[in-house]
Amino acid sequence: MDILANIALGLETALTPVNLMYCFFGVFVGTLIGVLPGLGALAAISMLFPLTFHLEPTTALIMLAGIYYGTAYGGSTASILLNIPGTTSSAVTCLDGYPMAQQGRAGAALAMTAVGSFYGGIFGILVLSIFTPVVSAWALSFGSAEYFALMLLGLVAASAISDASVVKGLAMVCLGVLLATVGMDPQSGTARFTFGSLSVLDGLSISALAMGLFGVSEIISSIRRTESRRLDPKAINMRSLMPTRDDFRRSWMPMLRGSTIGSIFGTLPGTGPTVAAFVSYGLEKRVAAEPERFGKGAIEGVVAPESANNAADQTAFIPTLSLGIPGSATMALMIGALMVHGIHPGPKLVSDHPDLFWGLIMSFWVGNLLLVILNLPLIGLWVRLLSVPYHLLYPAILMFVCIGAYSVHYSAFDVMVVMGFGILGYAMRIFGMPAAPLLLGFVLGPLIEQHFRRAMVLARGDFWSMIERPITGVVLVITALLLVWSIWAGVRAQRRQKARMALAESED
Amino acid sequence: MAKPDLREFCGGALLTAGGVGFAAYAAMHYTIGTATRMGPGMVPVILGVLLALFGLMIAAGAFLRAARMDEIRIVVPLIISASILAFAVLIRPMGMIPAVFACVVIATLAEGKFRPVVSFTLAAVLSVTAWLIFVVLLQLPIAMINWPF
Repeated sequence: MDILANIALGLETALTPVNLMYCFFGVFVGTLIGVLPGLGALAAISMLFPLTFHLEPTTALIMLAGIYYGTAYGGSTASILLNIPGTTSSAVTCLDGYPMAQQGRAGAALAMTAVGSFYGGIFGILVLSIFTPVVSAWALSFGSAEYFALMLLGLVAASAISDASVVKGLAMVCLGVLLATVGMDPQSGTARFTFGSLSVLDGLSISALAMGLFGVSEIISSIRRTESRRLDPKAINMRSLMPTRDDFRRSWMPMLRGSTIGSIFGTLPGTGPTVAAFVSYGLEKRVAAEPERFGKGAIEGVVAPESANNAADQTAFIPTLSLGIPGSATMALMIGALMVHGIHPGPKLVSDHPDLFWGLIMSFWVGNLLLVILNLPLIGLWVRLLSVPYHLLYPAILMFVCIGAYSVHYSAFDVMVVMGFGILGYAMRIFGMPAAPLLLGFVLGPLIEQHFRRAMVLARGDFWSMIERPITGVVLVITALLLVWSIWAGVRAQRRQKARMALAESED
Repeated sequence: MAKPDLREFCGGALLTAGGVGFAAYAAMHYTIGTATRMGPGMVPVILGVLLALFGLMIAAGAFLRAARMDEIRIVVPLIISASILAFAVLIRPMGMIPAVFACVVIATLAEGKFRPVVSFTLAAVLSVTAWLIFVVLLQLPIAMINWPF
């Protein structure tokens, strides 16, 4: 009966008018930003992050999470109608979604996407609500050494799987942790890297960092490059909104496989919805009876990745909520939102704040339902939004960023920090450095330092005795293997590229 | 042998410089401590050294592969920074409406051409939107217009 009581508590929390309103607001804004090409979940969440300072923690998380999975829905709309992925996790959907739209079946594709996403979301929520308490209970015995090892694994995985080279990813993690040391050291009370300024004694603000790195630098590189797009009038023929019975018959197995793959990849550090979508598309193509249909408008190629990325969106919360270790930059922002309110996610979260945990999970159900209701009738509105020219859009985004940064502490200094990180973010783009590992390092930085120092005290300064603890040892070995593998894969890719370059030169 | 990638090399060199800077500053100003009892300087020194090493690896890698990256923009980042800076400077003494106006009008300059009607209309519309969202809806205590004189 325990689970029923928890569900009741969760529903009670999720269905209060305030939470319901912010859940709706979150999924609405999420869909909106997901539809607009070039603005991803990270930019969306970091722009609205300052709002959460003024909300209850549960409400704040419900809203942020709504934006997060809302962008996945919105992103697929842009993929299908325009062949432009609104978000990276729906890039695969272009492959078969756009051909369907060209055949005049956009309506069916969008409807099946909504069904697949809903299914994947629900599947992920189930996995989430079963496994989080289990993992939490298991993690209660973890000491500082285990946490240090797990965080290290998370950081290495995030840099190994980002699209840039693993060395660049690791360099950015280091930079992120270094930036996190700015401010008062909690263990000794020493002010570090403040240069006598009182404004940074509390550390650099995570919202200013995220808005600068993901919002402002994105604007700088998109101006005059993002054009508004004309729609193929044939693509938005809504008469065929209803999928055929054949569509459903073909879809249910891919949805099940996609959700399973998504649930697995969502929990792994460093992977997440994008990888899950690509893997499930690959799997569908491999198991299909007629693989040649793929790329020409196969419904399986739309529903499988869409259910996978939505399932992964949900299960990404498992390590985040049970261990306090985010697997991606988006999850790092979720943890940041909780820490702002003085809640440190970890194994005690489920037992200490059951209303927060179960309320959040129940809000996922509500949010997914809202998304289906929101997406199908409002497709016309989303389509029209796609044609808002960028030169009107970016000053508005910039204004929201400025006011948002200011409203956190009513400090003009924070706005300037946004500017500084905007420039840093653009410089990183120029040099091809990934920004997500930096944010992850920044959020985990204080924790990893604290656990490292504490673990070393307990180990009496002997690093090797730490490895003799079974869990720590295993996790550290996995981390090392991952590092070796990713360096090897990087060298191999570089060699292949060099061979291709040499070939191209000899042809000239 | 392919030409070394100059940009990649600079990126690595900058990171190395940054890492050395962090490590040296921390080593000079904060207690390092011992492995058992670490001082506040220990972790920044370790990370600074690691960052410098990764920077060296990136710079070395520049000799192994060739360039293929985006154009570098100079004017656009400057205009966008100016727009944010204008907001930061104006918000306290002048209030939200002048700050939003300055921010939006300067930002539209990044398009490369100045269209006063479009800029000012957009600024006006956005000021009203900002007032509605932040003051009416969220009830944040931000002054709309201040007269410092």
